[in-house]
Amino acid sequence: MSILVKNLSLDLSDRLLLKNISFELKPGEMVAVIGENGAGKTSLINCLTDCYSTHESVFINGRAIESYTLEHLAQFRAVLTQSNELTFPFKVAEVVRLGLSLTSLSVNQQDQVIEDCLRLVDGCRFKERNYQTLSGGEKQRIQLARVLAQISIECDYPRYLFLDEPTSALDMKHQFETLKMLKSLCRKNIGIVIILHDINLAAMYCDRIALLKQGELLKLGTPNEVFQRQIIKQGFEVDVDILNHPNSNTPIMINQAI
Amino acid sequence: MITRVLSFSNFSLPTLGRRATQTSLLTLLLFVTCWFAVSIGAAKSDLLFPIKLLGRGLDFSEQGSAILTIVSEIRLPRVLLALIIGSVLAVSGASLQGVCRNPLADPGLLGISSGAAVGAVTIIVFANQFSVAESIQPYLVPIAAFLGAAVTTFTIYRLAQVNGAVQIATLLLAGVAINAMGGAIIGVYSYVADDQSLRLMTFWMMGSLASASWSMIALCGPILLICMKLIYQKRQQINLLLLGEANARYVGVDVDRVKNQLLWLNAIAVGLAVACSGIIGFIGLVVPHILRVSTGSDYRYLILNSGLLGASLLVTADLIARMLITPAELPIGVVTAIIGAPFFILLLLQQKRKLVLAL
Repeated sequence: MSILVKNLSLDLSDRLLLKNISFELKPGEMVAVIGENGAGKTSLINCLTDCYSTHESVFINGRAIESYTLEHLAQFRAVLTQSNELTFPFKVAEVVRLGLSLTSLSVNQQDQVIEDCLRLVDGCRFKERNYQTLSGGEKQRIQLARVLAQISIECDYPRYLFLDEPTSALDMKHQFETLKMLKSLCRKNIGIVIILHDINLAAMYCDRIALLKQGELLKLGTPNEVFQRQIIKQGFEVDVDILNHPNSNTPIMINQAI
Repeated sequence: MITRVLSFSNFSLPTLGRRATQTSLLTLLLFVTCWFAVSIGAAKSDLLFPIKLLGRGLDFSEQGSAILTIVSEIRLPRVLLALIIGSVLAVSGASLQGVCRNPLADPGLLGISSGAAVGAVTIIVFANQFSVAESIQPYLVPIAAFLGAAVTTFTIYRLAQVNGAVQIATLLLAGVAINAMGGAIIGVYSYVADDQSLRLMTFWMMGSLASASWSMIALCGPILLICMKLIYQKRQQINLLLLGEANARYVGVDVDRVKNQLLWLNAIAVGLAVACSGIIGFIGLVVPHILRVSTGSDYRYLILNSGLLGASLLVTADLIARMLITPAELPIGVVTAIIGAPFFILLLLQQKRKLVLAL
């Protein structure tokens, strides 16, 4: 029971976006996908979430992703994309409720889940607010709550979360809190793939790091394995110095040239 | 079992109660407007007509109540047709706004109404040049209108299709182009048409329910009701489409299928509605917006409430259209626009103020 990627390549309009990527994601771990702009991070998430045909190179819980129906996938796999805008006015609670559309929960049960998910993203006080009047970061947190609500029902098999830059619009406090919360969610038999640009956050909270470069998986390993000067230089073409966090011993990267 | 992440909290449901109240009030409003519309007319007005009609039942042999015959044969089908078409237009506007994620979308913007009008006007202008059996003559214009709507929908649909998926932005732009072309064709027709056709054309372009009859309702009513029911069944999917197509797919919606189904259901419904009554603007655009301001955009309630309010509005507009300058009649499209436009502007101003305050 895991997500297994075997020799995944993606070719769209004669551009090779992903080249021969293989790895395994186990429930209970959080893997950060990092890389420069255009490295193929979002394309990778799109392949893992049934957006493109992967020619049977992605397997979820033992079955090729193409063999699932959309509804079945939606029961144990949720995706946070980068688009947060809604054309029409919705209350925040209604937005989160959209994540529960396919479930057969009663209204009361739905309300409990909504309350819980909003609390996880520190959004309870917005519950009755018009979503359109929220700030960018607040919208991002509410969308995360919707995505959490979608897979809030426990099932016999592992659940998965795919998050495309969920902290890009958040302030420091909410960045830390969100990643801490996601890490604790992993313990409920959930596997998380998260695209992050802040590599120090990735080092602090993620179990493994996947570094992409021009569509190839340059390095996959623990933060200490991936965050080394030569590897970062290769992946981002930046010179960094690497320090160690005084409490957790995780690597911290700082720019060499100031 | 639900993942209980944190402790239970009490959650009140003010909005649900408010929504139930709103639906009940709208139903009551529709009932009242229909009652008045059946009671009031150029021939004779009596608020007891609905009761008298019920009392008479289906016994049409009774003599001496000519006025009741007028009411049951002319006024009643007209009110019923206004009710059905009003709700079709509003439901169609609401669903198209959802599918297109665009507050301006309605059958008019997509060119469906305009296509239907071109079809109808073609017959009006050129019918006298062909000899057609008298028995099918009254049906020619509606059939042409429906065909016009179908051809337009097919055209914009094909134009907007890329790799099997409908691109909404292209769909809207294609609609605008079709509208312009329809306007041009009708413009050309108005040069070649004779006086009588010209009057008939104008009437068609601004809508009228004067041709309502029981046979028309028997023919179109069931299809329109089925279309509305099928659109209503997709209410939750429309909600999810509002999240964006990618997000909707991730929540389990077969986006392309739902879009196609809704587009064709709307084409059938609007084509038939225009075939019965000509182009009636503003209902499809305004009604969903009025309701959004009071109870939000949740399509689980919006579609049903739009149907109820659209029906009430059109029944009222028709009452005004036939009573304002009796014994003559105003085109109903003029009435809906005269009531709808200022009200809509008022609504926009109010919404703007609210948004500024909230920010």
